[in-house]
Amino acid sequence: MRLFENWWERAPLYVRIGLLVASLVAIVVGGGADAYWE
Amino acid sequence: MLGLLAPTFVAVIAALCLSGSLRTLVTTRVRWWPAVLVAFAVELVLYNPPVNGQGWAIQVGPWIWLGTKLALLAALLRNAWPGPRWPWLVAAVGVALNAFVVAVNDGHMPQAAEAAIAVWGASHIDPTRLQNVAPMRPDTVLPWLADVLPQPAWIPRPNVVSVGDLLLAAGIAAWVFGAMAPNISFKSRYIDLSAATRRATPRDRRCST
Repeated sequence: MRLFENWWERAPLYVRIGLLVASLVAIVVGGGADAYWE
Repeated sequence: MLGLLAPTFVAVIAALCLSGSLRTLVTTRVRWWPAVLVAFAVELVLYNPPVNGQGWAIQVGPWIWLGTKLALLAALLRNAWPGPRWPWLVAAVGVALNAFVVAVNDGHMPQAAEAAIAVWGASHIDPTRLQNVAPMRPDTVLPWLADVLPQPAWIPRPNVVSVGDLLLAAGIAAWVFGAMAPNISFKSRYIDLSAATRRATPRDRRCST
């Protein structure tokens, strides 16, 4: 896991932005328990 | 579903209005992000065709879903330490409540029929495919923590949410706000300026001429 986390810091800016947005969407939508895909 | 992201959008706009910076946000990493993305990818595959129509998915899918919830909970707790703790803890409590309600209700989140009718005009639950929600019954455990809160119609794609969903959305929005505007704190029950910002204000005698 640490390998991936360190890679985040070396990644280009646009990749970091993508990873951050994807992670936040994944946490909120994935962690939520409302009816999916409605 | 999209309504849960709305507080984060509002947090981004509010932080930008209060001199926050997107640059400080993108320099902050989410710890255990591969686990977060894998858990979400599993949910995407599980609850979409063709997998959501398979017999095995209908049988074991709810428990796989619970597993993804626990993975996300672990990632949220990992982000709560070390670092700005309370936003991640609020989000973690939200996911923990959702996971607990799902675990004690046979792997599904109970959904109140009245709330579903208020949002969509009818219940959308289809028993022939795997869905993460199930109709609320008289024997539902912890019904007040289930999907009982209809989102207002003005939100894009409104849904029926739970208390856990609201805590999760609020926690992530608070973290985003704090990451973008780290000089603004909520100490003393009001938005306070940091020591560095106070020193730069004209009222401070070190800045007076």
